Amino acid sequence: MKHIWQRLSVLTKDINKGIIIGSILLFVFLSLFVSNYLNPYNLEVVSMNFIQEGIMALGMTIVIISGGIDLSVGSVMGFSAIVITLLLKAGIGIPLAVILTLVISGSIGFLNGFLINRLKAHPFIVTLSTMTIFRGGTYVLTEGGTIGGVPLDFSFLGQGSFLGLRFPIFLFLVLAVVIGFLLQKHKFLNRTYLIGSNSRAARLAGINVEKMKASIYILSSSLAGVAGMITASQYLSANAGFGLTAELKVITAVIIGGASLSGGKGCIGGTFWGVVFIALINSIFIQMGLPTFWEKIVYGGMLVIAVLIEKYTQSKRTSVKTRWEDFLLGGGDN
Amino acid sequence: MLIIAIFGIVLTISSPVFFTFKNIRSVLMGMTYDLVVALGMTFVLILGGLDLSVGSNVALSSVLTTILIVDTPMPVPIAILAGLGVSVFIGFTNGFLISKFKINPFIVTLGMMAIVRGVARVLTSGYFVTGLPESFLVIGQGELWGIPFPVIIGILIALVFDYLLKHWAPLNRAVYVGANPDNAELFGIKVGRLVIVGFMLAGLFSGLSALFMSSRLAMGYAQFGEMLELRAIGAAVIGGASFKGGKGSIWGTFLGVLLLAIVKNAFVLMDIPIYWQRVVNGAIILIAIATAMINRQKD
Repeated sequence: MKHIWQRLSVLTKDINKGIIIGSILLFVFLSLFVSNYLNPYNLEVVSMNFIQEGIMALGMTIVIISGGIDLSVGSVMGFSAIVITLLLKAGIGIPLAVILTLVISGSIGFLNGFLINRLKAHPFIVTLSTMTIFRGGTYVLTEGGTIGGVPLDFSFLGQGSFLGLRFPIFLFLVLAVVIGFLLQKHKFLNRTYLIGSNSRAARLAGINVEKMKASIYILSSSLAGVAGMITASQYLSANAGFGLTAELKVITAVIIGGASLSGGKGCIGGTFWGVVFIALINSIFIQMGLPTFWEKIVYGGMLVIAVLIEKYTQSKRTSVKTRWEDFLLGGGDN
Repeated sequence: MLIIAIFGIVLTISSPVFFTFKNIRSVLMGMTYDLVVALGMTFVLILGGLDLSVGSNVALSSVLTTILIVDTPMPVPIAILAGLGVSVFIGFTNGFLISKFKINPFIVTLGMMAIVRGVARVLTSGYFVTGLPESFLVIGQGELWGIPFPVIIGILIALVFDYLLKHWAPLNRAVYVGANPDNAELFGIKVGRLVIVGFMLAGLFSGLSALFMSSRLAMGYAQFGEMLELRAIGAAVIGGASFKGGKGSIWGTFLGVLLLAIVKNAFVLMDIPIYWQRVVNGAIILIAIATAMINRQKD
C-alpha cells in the first residue's frame, strides 16, 4: 500500500496544499449544512457539472507548465461538439466520427502551435484569435442555435456507466493518472518543465522546443475535443454556446492548483484538486440558488487572488527582483 | 491605407448604398465607439501591456451611469462623472496590480474582464436600463451639421491624444518604456507610475465609449462592448502597434478602426450572415500579427 502512495506522490510535485485543505473544508461544510449532500446521486451531479472543465484542465496544466496558455479550449470544445453532431447526422458511424473529430480538434491545436512557433507571437494573442475564429465557427455552423440528430447509441460517452462510475468521470480519472505519470516519468513530456522554466537552456540541451510546443497544444486541443464530444453525447445535440467562457474556469482551476503562469511549475495532482475546489464552489452556487451572473465575478476574482498569492509567496522565497522585461514584453523566449 | 482604399472602391462598385451620406455616417458612428477604446489600447500596447478588460469596462460604466440617472435623483453630469470615475478606477486597479505585484497584464485584465462583466450583469440581472432623460440622450443623438456629436468628439480626442503622445514628455516616454522598460527605469523614468497611468487612460476611454454608446442607443446594457477588446487590439495591431511594446501610432490605429468598420459594413451591405463577423475578426488579428512578423523580418 505504501508503495502505491509513494508512486502516486509524483503526481503532486508542485501542489498548492492550501487547495486540498480548502476543498476538504468546503466539502465538510456542504455535507453538514446541505441535507442529502452526501447522496451518491448528488455527488455524481456535482462532479459531472465540471467534468469537461476537468478534462481540459489536464491539457491546460501542461500548456501552462510549458510557459504558454491556451484560451481557445472553450471554443474548440463547442466546435468539436458541433463537428461530431454534424458527422453523426451525416451517418458515417460512431468510431469514424470520433476519430475525425479528434483529428479536427487536434489540428486546431497544431494550428495554435504552428502560429506560436512561426509568428513568434505570445500564445495569449494567438489562442485569443483562434478562440474568436472557432467560436465564430460554432455560430456559423449552427446559425446561432442548436442542432440535433445525434443517435442514441452515442449517449454512452457522456451518460454511460463504467465500473460503477459515470463514463466521463472514469475517463477523467484515467486520463489524469496517465497524463500525470507521463508528465513526471516519461522523458518526452517531462521536458515540458525545462521548456517552461528556461527555454533557452532547453534549446541548448538539444530539445526541439518548437516540436514540443506544437505537441503540447495538440494535446490540449484534443482534450478539448474529447470534452466537446462528451457534451454532445450528454445533450444528444450541439449548441453554439457550448464551452463559452470555459477557458476562464479551466485556467483558474490550474492556477489555484499550484501551477505558475511564468512556466516550469505545476502538476496534475494540483490541477485535480483545483478542479474539485471549483466544482464545490459551483455546487455552493447551485445550493444557495445564486443567479449565474455571480459566477463570472467569483472565477475572475479567484484567478486574480490566486496569482497574487503566488507572487507573494514567490517574493518571500526568493530575493530575485522581477525585472519589468520579464512580464511587460509578453514574456517567452522570442 | 492601400487596403482601405481598395476596400472602399470594391464596396462602392458592388453596392450603390455604400457611398450614400447615410451609410457613411452610420459607418463613422459605429467606428467611434471602437476608435475611442482603441486609442487607450494603443497607448497600453506601446507601453508593452495589454488590456482585455476594456469591453467589460464599457458595459459596467454604461450600466452604472444609466442606473444612477434612472433610479436615483442624481443629476446627469454627476452620474456621467461617476461612470467615468468607475472606468478610471478599474483601469487603476489593473495598472496597480500589474506594476505593484509585477503580474502579467494578460492575466490581470483577463480576471478583471470576467469580474467587471459579472458585476454589470448582477447590477442589471441581464435587463436593459431604459427611460433616460433627453438631457443625457443629446450627447449621443445630437448632431452638428448632420454629424453626430460622438463622431466629432471622438475625432477631436484622437487628434489631441496624437499630439500629446508625440510632443508631451510624460506620455511620450511610453515608447521608451515599451521598447526597453528596465533601461527606461535606469534613465529615471518611473515605469510603474506610467503603467498605472496607461491603464487608467484605457479605462477613461472605455468610459467615454460607454457614454457615447448608452446615450446614442438610449439604454444601459450589460452586453455592451462584447468582443470590443479584440477589435481594439486588432485595430491597433493593424495600425502598426506591436505586442512587444514600443510601437504604435494613433493615425495607424485610426486607419485600423476604419478598416474594421468598413469590413463590418461590407458584411451588412452584402447580406452575409452576421455570424461570420466573429470568424473574420479573429482572422484579422492573425493577419495583422503575420504582417507585423513579415515587416520585422524585413528590417
